[in-house]
Amino acid sequence: MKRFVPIFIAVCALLFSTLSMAKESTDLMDPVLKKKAQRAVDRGLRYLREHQEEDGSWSKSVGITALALRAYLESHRGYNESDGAFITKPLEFILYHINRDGSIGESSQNKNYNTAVSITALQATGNSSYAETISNGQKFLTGLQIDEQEGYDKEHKYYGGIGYGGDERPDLSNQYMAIEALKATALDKNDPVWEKALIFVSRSQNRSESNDQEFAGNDGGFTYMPGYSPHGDAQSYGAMTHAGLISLLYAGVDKNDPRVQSAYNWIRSEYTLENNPGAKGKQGLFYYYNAFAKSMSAYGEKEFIDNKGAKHNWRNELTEKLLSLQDKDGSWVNKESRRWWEGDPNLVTAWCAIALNMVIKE
Amino acid sequence: MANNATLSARPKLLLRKKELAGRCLLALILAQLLTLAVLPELEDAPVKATLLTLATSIILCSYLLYPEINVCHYSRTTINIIWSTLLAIGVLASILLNNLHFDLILILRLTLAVVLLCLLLSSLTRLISHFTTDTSSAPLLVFLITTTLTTATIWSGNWVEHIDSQNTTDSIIAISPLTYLASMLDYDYLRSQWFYSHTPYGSLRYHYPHWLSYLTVYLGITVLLSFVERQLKIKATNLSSKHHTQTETT
Repeated sequence: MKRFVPIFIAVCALLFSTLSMAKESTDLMDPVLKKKAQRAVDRGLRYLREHQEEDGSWSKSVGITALALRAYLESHRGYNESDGAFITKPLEFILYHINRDGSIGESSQNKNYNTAVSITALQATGNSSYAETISNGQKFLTGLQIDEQEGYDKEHKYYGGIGYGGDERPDLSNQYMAIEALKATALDKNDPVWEKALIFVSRSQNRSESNDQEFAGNDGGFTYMPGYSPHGDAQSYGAMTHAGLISLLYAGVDKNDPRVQSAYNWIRSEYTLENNPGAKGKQGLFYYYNAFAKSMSAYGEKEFIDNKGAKHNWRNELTEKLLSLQDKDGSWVNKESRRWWEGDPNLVTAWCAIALNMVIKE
Repeated sequence: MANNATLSARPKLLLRKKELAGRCLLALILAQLLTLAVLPELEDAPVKATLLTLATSIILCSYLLYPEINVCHYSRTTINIIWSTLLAIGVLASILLNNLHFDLILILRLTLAVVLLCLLLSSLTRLISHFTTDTSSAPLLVFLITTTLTTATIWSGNWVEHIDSQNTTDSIIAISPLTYLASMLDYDYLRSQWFYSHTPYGSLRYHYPHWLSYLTVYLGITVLLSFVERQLKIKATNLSSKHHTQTETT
């Protein structure tokens, strides 16, 4: 009898590992799709390379250049500065546009977006010689945050928010970009900027338990800024809810925090990849895909169950969707709305490549 | 004889001076009221937004009250320079009155921009008055043109996002005097809360012309309009004297 005990244990172990592998295979990304995603990224990057300007930029924009560069640096090919001018020239273009105040950009517009994506791209190079530029960029971004220095107290709905970088109001989109950059460039976790940012982020969520603003609804989703959505009233919508979820997680909020759970529940209940849920038409669709990949990756679940009880492997489904939308030349573009610059294939291709890089990376 | 003529013209000239100052003061008061009415709409607006509203209101109100001066010892150019300068002083006074603390260089840039824009509009008014029989219709027409162009970034919003042309977007933005004034303040007004909520421009890609380019272009247009107007005036005078000589000969 004793002879059978090790055999029994071995059989059990074999059975258990087989079952585990079977479970894992349903959770992980489909390997065939993964290959297709890699090929789609390659085609996208080839498109970008063909449309790179002489000066190394894309669309003569610091922001788009930084995003395209990030798409290369984070790709499965592992491109870096030693790969040639198509990487070094955009870096030079970015560095050429460093301003005295630490911001990076070709104009006084969109200073926050441009600086945020630029320091994220510089960080992605892994080159320590950019440390000072990154640090100055961080200081610029944190300096944009609306607080007592600008004469706002904690009760004000703008408190803790970051806007475009001029005299404009703050909004969650700018806020999330800044937060993503500060997280990517490893800003001190104890910096007060995180705590203040969370005040603004919470006020952009339709959750009255954690949002002290009158407009606050209770669906758990996020809106563009406290009390306003470009899609009507203070309506929650997909792109901002993913931006909000990323902001919460990157700012150090625990995954089990009710604010995170409410946002996640909104995402599950409104889940679709056909459009940007809650938005008008196809507005901001690719921004939504990009934020979707980042937030789901940050949340860390391979699958989720929607409110109808259907299981979704987000990596597989996002890949299939993006593959179906890729043009023959390898680019992506929003053909129905050019809002938020989605009529520019360089920007949209960079966004999709970054999203697929997230998917592939697992 | 000459002394008598000067003496008889004096009360009239004094009246015109008073009228000019009165109209300017009324324009400033109207502009102030308009600004006060608009500001609550611009929730939590920064100082730049207040300055922009004030400057725009002054320019628009000034052309509702543009002085129709035909009988005057001053030349039209002098009147226009005085009128524009008075309005610019009004801008500065309003800034002080509203206790708006702001970068002095940007305030001076804005004041210069108001002077130049007023001169341009005055030149346009003079030019248009050559083609109208009723002298009061020219300022009104200029007011309508200015208002239409100033609000270009509002009324064009519905269709601009469907036009896949960067140049068209940039052109519409550039023709608006509001953009001209905003560029003096280095203010991205299209991404301010009001514009972001009411027009699609804030979500599109666009470029503002540089403030120096704007000043150069506006100055160039003013000189050109004045030149054309002067030529028309000379032509009209020649025709009139010719007609007079012909009548006398007949």
